[in-house]
Amino acid sequence: MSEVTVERVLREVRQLPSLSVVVAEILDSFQNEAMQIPELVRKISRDQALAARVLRVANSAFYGFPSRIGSISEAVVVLGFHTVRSLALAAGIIHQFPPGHGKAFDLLAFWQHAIGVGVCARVVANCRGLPSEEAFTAGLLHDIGRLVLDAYFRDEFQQVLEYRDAHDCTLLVAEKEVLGLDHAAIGYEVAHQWKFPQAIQAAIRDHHSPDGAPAPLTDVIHLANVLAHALEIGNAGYDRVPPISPAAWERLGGNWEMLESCLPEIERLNAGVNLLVAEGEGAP
Amino acid sequence: MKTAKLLPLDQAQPGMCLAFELCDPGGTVLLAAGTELTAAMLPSLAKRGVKQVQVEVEETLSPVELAARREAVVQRLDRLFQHEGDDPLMDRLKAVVLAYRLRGLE
Repeated sequence: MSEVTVERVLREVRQLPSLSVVVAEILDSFQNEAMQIPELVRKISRDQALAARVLRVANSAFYGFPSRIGSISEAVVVLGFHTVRSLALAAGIIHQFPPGHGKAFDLLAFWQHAIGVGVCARVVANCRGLPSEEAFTAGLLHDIGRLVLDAYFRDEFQQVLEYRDAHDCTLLVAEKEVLGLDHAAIGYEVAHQWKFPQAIQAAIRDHHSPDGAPAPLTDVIHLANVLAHALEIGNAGYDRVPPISPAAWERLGGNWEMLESCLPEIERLNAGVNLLVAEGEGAP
Repeated sequence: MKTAKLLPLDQAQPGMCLAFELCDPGGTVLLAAGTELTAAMLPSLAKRGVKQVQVEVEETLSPVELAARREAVVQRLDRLFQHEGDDPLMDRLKAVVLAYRLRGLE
């Protein structure tokens, strides 16, 4: 097995197809308040492949709906526009990667964790008066490096997963031990390639080590990731809560009452997740 | 404890509370999460194109089930928050989440 180097990762990342026009527009819409909701809903509906993937997630056990949601506009009614837009973004981005065949990597769980961190990030950002939609997007995309590992470095990633199981450690630790490079660094290369907003690129790169280049969004994603683990929203592939950086906690105000007040809101937004038991129809 | 349930609009009853915000097919928010449905609202939601709503439902547990759930919560958090050495921040977070979880069972 050859080592996973930055050069090898970059080679793969540079060959990723560019984002589809609709997905790029959805990404833009997070920063562009002028984007009209009905217009975006129409665009998502017209991209049939994308719409089908969104509906597949909306109809999966993830949201626990007993009856089928048949159209994007129905999904908007039931889930709300922001959720549908985020699902469309994540579905569009995840689809850019060829499916991996690593048995131990659970794409549905990956997806749930991504949405969970997005929700936590939105709530924390709201409490701190930071842009909450940007936080939601960054949360959704923070582990995108793992998709690269699953898609292009299957054998190496399999070894990472085996190392994690054998040593009962976090995936991050296993990645560093086995690969010498972690999903945060890899995710940054993807985010850079696809020209994600700068703050989101930094948040993806630094969400496990927020103190090197402190930034508000990075701190939010760092804390959101810890909260999603602590509240067990989704499943990030290991059952350990990663440690909070004391400095990031201070930068976010270090306020326990604020944090306590966030928890019910996070749960409310995640009510669908409570219904979830691992019986998804499959990954998006 | 509360969970969410999706109902066809014609099965929704006045007094039920929305688990999520409710939007029309164009994405406009009609009602906020937590809104209590009234008899007057239901026909107007139908007119706005709403076919189904997500409402909160209350789940009741027996004392034995409750005790088992509590124990499961404590054990699970012990597992999640295993860490090397002292970490006062993580101990505090664990306490906050535990208190929150136990409140949620009441």
